[in-house]
Amino acid sequence: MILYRFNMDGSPDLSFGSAGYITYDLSSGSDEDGSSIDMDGDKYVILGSHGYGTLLKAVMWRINNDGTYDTSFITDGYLLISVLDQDYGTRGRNVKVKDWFYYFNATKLWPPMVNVIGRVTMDSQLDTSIGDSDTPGLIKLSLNHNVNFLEHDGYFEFDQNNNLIGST
Amino acid sequence: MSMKDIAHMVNNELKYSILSVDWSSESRLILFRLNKDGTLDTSFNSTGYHYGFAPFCEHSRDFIIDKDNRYVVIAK
Repeated sequence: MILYRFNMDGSPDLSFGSAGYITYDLSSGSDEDGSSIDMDGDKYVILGSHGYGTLLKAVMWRINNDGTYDTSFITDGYLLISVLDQDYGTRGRNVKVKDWFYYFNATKLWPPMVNVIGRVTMDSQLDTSIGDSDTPGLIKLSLNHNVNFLEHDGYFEFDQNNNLIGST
Repeated sequence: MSMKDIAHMVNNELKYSILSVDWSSESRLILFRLNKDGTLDTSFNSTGYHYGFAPFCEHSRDFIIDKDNRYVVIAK
């Protein structure tokens, strides 16, 4: 994953990394793919994916304003999230910071396919007070998650009454 | 050039910022800023846009404007 920062005038922010960008590689040979970014104060909350081929999990980073991992979020600075207790094919899609939580959605592209919404506390705990019985902390957005529905994307938003609206 | 709109945002000055990817070469990111009338805002990087960093293949996905009015872009 690469994080770029530009000044308001469009020039690279050379105070960020060595040339206005920083790369993040969680382990040798793995892929890191950032998908969505939001702010928590002056920190960056990022959702994406991490893995090797079909071995893929959603990952949430919290990055300090200087580009370093925020180890006050979690020791390593990032949280891995699997769906249905499997390590296969899960991509993080969107993240939004709201009311002391980091809401996110993720899509599991490996059967059984499913799109989920969850929320993580600011100290990196998946909030299991919400969610479905077989996926504590994760609300499944599926018509039938035991078949291969085309649930490759998903999105969520809060309406003006703070209701959480999800799509799959 | 083959471009795809990835994300967009309006800043406090009502200028429109658009993040795109140029798929025709190395999937490099393009960040545009437009004035309210749709013209390129040439106060942004002197051209109205920023065209990626070589040598990365930059599948840019999302961006925000942070509290200090800096543009923060994530890419693969």
